[in-house]
Amino acid sequence: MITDAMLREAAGEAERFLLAHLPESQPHHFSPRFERRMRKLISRANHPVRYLVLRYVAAVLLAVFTLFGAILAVSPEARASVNGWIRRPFFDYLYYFYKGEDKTAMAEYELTAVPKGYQLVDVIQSEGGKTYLYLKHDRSVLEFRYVCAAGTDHYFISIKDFDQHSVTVNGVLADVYISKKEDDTNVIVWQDPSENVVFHIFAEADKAALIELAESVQKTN
Amino acid sequence: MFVYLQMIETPEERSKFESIYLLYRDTMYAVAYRILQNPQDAEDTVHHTFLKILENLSKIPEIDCPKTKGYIVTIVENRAIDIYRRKKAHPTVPYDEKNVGTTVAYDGSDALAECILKLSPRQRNLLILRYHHGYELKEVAKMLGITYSNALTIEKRAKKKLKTICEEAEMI
Repeated sequence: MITDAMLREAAGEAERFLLAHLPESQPHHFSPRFERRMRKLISRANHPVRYLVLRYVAAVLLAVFTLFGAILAVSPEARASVNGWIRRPFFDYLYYFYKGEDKTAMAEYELTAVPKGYQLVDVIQSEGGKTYLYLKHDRSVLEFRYVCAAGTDHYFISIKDFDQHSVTVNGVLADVYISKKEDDTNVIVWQDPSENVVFHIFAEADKAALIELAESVQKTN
Repeated sequence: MFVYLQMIETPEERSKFESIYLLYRDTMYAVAYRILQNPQDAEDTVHHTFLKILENLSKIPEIDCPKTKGYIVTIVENRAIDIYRRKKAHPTVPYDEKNVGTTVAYDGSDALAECILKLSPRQRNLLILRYHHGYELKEVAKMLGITYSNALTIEKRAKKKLKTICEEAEMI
């Protein structure tokens, strides 16, 4: 008969033995992608309460936007008063939400000037848009995403630790967010008001390169 | 409100996770890499393990101690085995079966510990977390990313197999 006390003692001895026979660990040079993910995790660990509050706030805001959408659905007066994508900063986030009823059919776009070295690894089709993921050999990520009003009423991006710059993309006002952290991913966000589409590109690129990337986006249908 | 919230995050609590990260990341990578033989998969495993550690940070009383190291190695090994099995089901690169889990020949004097080491890594890890670390089965299930009923089944089978191994070794 094996008692719990015997198991406790033997399990401890088994673990001690396993720890004494671990593979030899050399200092490993972790990839930039891993370091970025860990920085986010450490930031979340360092501010657990704020993280929980922000999650709560995000949930509440989504509920508010859903409610707002419901009001718009039943109120012609409310629908008449607003139209298009609206941007609202909120704590460390930017909320983009669509207001209006003249939703267009979903347009298709593509990035025509993908920087050298990036390979398209995934295309994610969602109800309201598409996400193109490109990857380089060093695991650098480039994400091009667009969301049409036809399928999505809101989405948000985190801009914590970013500096904002107002720029233009093919004559349309846009925002570039440059990370305050070295080697981090930067982002450009802009809209095509005529099609009710909002775009963003995340990439390890500077402001000028992001604008160039954004200006290379072309409609394909 | 935020001023108050910031105040209850003590510097000690703030640095705990980061200290664990800096102390164990290379060991965790080595454990994951031994199983997966792929740098990206090993890094993903380490990242996922830190997510689990963050969820259970309050259960780690001391940063630099064998018990914490054992707990972390157990979690990372378990995750690496999960990824290994998934990759094996959809193979894109060859994996070597013999690298799955830590398998070492015991040369100590505790016969029951020797039998525990003959269990599968998942069974062994569950018993170590349950009986050496003293976690409830529900907590272990959460740490290993399995359902409670699955954890119950693994524990039941582990004990049954342990009994068989002990009988074969004429321990009981």
